[in-house]
Amino acid sequence: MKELIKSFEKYTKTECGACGRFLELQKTEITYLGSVFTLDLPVCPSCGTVFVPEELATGKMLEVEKILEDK
Amino acid sequence: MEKARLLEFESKCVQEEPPYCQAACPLHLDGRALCAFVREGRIDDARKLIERTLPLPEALARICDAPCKEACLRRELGGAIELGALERACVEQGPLRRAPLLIPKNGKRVAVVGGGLSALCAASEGIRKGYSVSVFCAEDRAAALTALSPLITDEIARRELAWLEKGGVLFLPLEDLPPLSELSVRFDAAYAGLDDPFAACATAEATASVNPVSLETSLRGLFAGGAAPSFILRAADGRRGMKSAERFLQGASLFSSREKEGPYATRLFTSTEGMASAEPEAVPQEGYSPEEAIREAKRCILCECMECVKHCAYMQHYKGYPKKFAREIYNNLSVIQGTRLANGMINSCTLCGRCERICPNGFSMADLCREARREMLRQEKMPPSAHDFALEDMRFNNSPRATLLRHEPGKETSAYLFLPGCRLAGCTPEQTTALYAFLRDRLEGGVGFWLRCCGAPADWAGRDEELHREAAKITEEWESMGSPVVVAACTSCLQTFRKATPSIKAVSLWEILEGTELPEGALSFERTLAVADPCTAAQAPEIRDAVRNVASRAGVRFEEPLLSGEFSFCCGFGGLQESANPTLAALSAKTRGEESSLDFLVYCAMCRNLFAQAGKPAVHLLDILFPQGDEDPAGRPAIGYSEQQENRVGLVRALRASLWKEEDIVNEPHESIRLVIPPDVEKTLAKRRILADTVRRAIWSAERSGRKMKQINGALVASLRPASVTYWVEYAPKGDGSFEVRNGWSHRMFVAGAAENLVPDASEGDGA
Repeated sequence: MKELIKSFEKYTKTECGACGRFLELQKTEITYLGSVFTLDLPVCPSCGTVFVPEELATGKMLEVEKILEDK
Repeated sequence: MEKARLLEFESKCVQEEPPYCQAACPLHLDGRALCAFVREGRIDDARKLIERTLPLPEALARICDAPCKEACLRRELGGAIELGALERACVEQGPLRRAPLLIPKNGKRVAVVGGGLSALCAASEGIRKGYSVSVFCAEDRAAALTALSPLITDEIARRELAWLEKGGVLFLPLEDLPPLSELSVRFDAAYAGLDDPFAACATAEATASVNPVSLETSLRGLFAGGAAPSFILRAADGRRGMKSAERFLQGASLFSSREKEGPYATRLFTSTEGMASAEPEAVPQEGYSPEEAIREAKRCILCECMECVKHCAYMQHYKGYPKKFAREIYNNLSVIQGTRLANGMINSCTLCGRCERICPNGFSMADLCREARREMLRQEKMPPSAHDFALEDMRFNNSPRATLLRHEPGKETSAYLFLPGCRLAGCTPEQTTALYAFLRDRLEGGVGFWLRCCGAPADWAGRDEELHREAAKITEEWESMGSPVVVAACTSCLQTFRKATPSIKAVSLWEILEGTELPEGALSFERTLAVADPCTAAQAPEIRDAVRNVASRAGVRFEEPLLSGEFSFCCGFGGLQESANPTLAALSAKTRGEESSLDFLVYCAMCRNLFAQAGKPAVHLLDILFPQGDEDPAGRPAIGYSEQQENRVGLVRALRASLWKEEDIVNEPHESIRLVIPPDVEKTLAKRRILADTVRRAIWSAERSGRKMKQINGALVASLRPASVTYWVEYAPKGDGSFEVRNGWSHRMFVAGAAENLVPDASEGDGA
């Protein structure tokens, strides 16, 4: 998981279209079916818009969604 | 689910019932398991089974007179399995383990009168129950066994007796037997083995009349049996007598629930249809060699039911049979904390009902899974990902853009109301238009047009409230048209109408076509096809007949595959299998496709789509009656969800403009977004269930609000959370004003700040 988060550093070169600022990794709250997690995700430091990368959404996130759905 | 309901379901499935031989065996030796071991060369395991089941295994396995042969299903197919000879081969090919009994004595003293087979079997059963057993018999104890058959040598007999002694059996001389009147003083219970003349004589005054069920005699606490000529029945009496002694000592009923103690008829069902006859392996004087035993064991049918599992990809995938599934589902619904392992299984059944139609007792996985789905919804434990996509599709199909309800152009009443259904309208809108024109031409009294979803997805998902809401709207819409006869092209719609809105008179399109002249210009189809009935027509013989009639009149040559008609099963779309488990749905379609090497003739748009996805060429009967272009309809590709939704919207607009001259059609603002989607991206989007309409909304919203990400490679990323899923779309504007879609992904988790503010507000629409 640490490696995955570290890999998100590449998104610090992604730019927020609304503010023109580069994204920064920031603690972000994620919730699903009553469970709450925090995770370092690329976020616009100005407007707070969060970016969820494809590899997270289709990988670990999907895996945890399925586990929580069967709880 | 109540426990009683589970038992009700369980009792219908006979797969776990004992095989015919085991039920018929007075000692209930599992001949099926024995044959399964022997055919694999697992003789040690076969011996363990014999040792576990027979009270005197070394002796009985050699002299078993195999009454099971009368019940063996092989009897009519070459000859019953030589189970007696197989038992003998097992014990002759290696030693039994004869492990010492580790059962503590419970202080009860039981007398066994006689030294014959029945008495010794009773003694063996007695020590297994923890009794202190005293056997009163002649001095030469081995003689009673060796006298039974030359196959029981003195050595074998001594080994049996030694094991009994090791287990605590006390052998006492005949002279020590107390008079019957004093028996109850020294012992708590007693058994007399009447195959020993001494025992018969010594207990004669009490054993003149013996109850056949309890083996009670006129002396309280004394039981007797073993007078039968069959060795195995004598042994079984010994076991029954000791069971009666046990009940007597516990103060329990001597008669209740003893029906299955002796031979009985099993409830198991085993089909021998198509099974080849095979002669038994002759039994030589010296018994079977290992090779002969294996050959004979291989003749065993290994009786089981599995009728419903045989062709069901779903049950095969979950590796079980209904009784096992019922237990798993019951346990799943009872989980308080922990993982609900059967969620996927519950939501993957196609609810086609074939199992119920084929089961000798009518077990319905559909009823079981429907009940489970309802209960999961009540418990708020239904995984959102299972059915959301299909339910969203249903809601879209009932949204103003995708629905239409009109009287025939120029008329103010309708005698009929044509309901093409979501899939037909979505997959072949031109055909739907042609079919509607044909019906208007052929039917008198006005044919109205009704495009909407029947509510089947809500029904399949177990969402009764949503189904009833739709049913109320359906009834209201139907009544607003003057309650005409509904002509449904889809058998699923018809099934749902008959269930949820029975007051609506609805007929199948095929019954209407059967009674009319067929359209001119029907395709002349050369190849012979195989009719694949949809599962929703399995209980509608009138529709199946009408389809065949229409096809014949249209000059189509067809054959009947083995599993058509009432035994047809689902292509994988029904019951929302495709929504909950797309991989399994593809397997269902593939399995069904393998029924015939011929291309299929179908009359359900869902079936055709699923078969096309699975690579099975399928021709819809409407493709022949209303051909669209010159291409071979069997080669037509499957139509994805995005295209289906767009086709339905397009059909509504085209019909409104062309037939009803309605020009007030307002596009939603995001519809102005033109997309260019490369084929590989289209595949990814379809697999991830991201609709083109969603992509348009996301891009429209991002372009309007400016809230988007700009990647290092210049591509833009938009996101949108219309309901419970956040969608991400990677795109790039093209010079001509269109947008090239490069990728798309989604997640259900709620990430604060990801997309929540990007939902487009319809009021901002500028109307295109």
